[in-house]
Amino acid sequence: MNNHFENVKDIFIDSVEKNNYVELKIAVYNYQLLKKSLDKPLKMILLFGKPGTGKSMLLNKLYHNLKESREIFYFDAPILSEKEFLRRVYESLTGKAVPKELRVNFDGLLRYCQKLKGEREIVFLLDECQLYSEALMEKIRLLSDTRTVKFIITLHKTDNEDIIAKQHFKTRIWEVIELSNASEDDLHLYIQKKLIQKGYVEISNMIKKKHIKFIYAYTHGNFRETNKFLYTLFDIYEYFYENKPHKVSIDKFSKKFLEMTALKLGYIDG
Amino acid sequence: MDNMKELEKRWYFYKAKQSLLSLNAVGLVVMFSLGGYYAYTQADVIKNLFNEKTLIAETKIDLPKEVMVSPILVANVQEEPVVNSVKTAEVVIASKNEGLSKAVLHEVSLEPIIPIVNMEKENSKTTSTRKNTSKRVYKSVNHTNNSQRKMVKAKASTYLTASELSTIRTEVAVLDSQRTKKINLNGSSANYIGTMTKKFSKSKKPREALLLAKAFYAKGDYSSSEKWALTANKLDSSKDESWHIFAMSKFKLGQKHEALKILSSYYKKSHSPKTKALIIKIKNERL
Repeated sequence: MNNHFENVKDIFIDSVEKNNYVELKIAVYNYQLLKKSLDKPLKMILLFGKPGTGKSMLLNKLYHNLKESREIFYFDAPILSEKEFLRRVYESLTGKAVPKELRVNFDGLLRYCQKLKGEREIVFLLDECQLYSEALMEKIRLLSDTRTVKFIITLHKTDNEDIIAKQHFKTRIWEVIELSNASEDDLHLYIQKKLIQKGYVEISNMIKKKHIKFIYAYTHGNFRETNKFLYTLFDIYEYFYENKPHKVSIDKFSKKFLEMTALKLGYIDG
Repeated sequence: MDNMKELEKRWYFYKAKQSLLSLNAVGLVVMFSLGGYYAYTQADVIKNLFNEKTLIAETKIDLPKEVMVSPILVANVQEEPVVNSVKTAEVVIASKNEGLSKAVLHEVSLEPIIPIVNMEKENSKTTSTRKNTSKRVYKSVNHTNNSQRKMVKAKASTYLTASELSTIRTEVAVLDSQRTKKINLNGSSANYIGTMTKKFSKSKKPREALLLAKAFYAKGDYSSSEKWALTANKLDSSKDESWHIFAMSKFKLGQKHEALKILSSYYKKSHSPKTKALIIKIKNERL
């Protein structure tokens, strides 16, 4: 067996790529829900959940699946400057670049959108909207009121603040899809599918329910945390396979390495 | 690479800590198991102990401090016939608490016990002593009378002369003085109490203690009479009177409830009619 743990660990690098998307039951359900919501005459749709629950992944998946069939634009990174945001929206709508010395007039943009009503339906996917200012969110709301532009936004759910309660979200958002952490079984499936997708069936078979239980105890089914855990775990595997191969069993998943991972990530005290 | 080595070290340390914790847990389990087993095997002892404590909780007789020192003793007062001597009471306690350790028995024997003074004997002795004394006094008086009579012969049919009358008055005065002395002996004069206290400190006899208790009671010093009754009771527990004076003193000190409790618990064992009568008296506050 070659040391392919290096490649295995790369599977768990936290990235929003459509190839990394794992179709779990719950993810499929949420995706279908989101797709149906797009067909409804809604102005804004909110994807809501704790960090690492798969909001960005879902948005990314939606974008890649629909970009051929609809007018859909994906702003994966938050655009904090109002000027820049309006410029990007204008360029997306018109397909024309705005000269550097000019800026987009919001009233003009609003009138332009109103003129397009009934002719076009443009979808904007905005990630990390909790970083947008209230003034900018208000402008987004006004644009969505024209019914030409539809926004799907994602928000982090924080413990201190229930953002949904904010006035502009309370009154404008018509559809809320809340994402949550995976269950233990879903997590098992997630890890297995990720490994099998890349052809590491042997390693996938090594991981038993008790190992998932151990991982779940610390990651609570959060996809980002799980990815981090598995990345570190296979990093340790890689090291031992190279330097102390007698300590690595290819038939059995190592509890020692699991515990070392938890130690390294600070889940347990050494 | 160094990080991994360091991480592995940390893992070994972590495992060692885990093992220690597991060992501790196992140790605790073993300790509790052994403790449980020991408690199970010693169940009778614990049960006895519990029973004793329960009895104490039920009785709560408000005895003086000396008596209240030993809860086991209080239980004994309730359960055992009080007419028993101190030794008998101890034996009974020992037989009841077979499971108790020797140390506990030793403690019981050291505790103050409320014994009962054989007051009837004491009384009979005192009375006979008094009778003897009075007889002796009267003998001497009679002897004096006789000698006086030799000197003065009263004529039955005639009035006495002035000189004859003065002689008789002197005799009566002598007799009166003798009688006063006798009363003082049984009374509560400071002299008598002092003498008796000295006597008691030398002899340590229950009789003296009881006489002192009576003297103080008669004097109205109920705290002292209570104390001396208890002392007498400690020395000899065979008779009712120390109990009675103790309870009477309690009553006089305004502790009617305690007095009744003590007498009731004593009556349960002794069935003494005198005690019953005293209980009724105290109940009706006719003491």
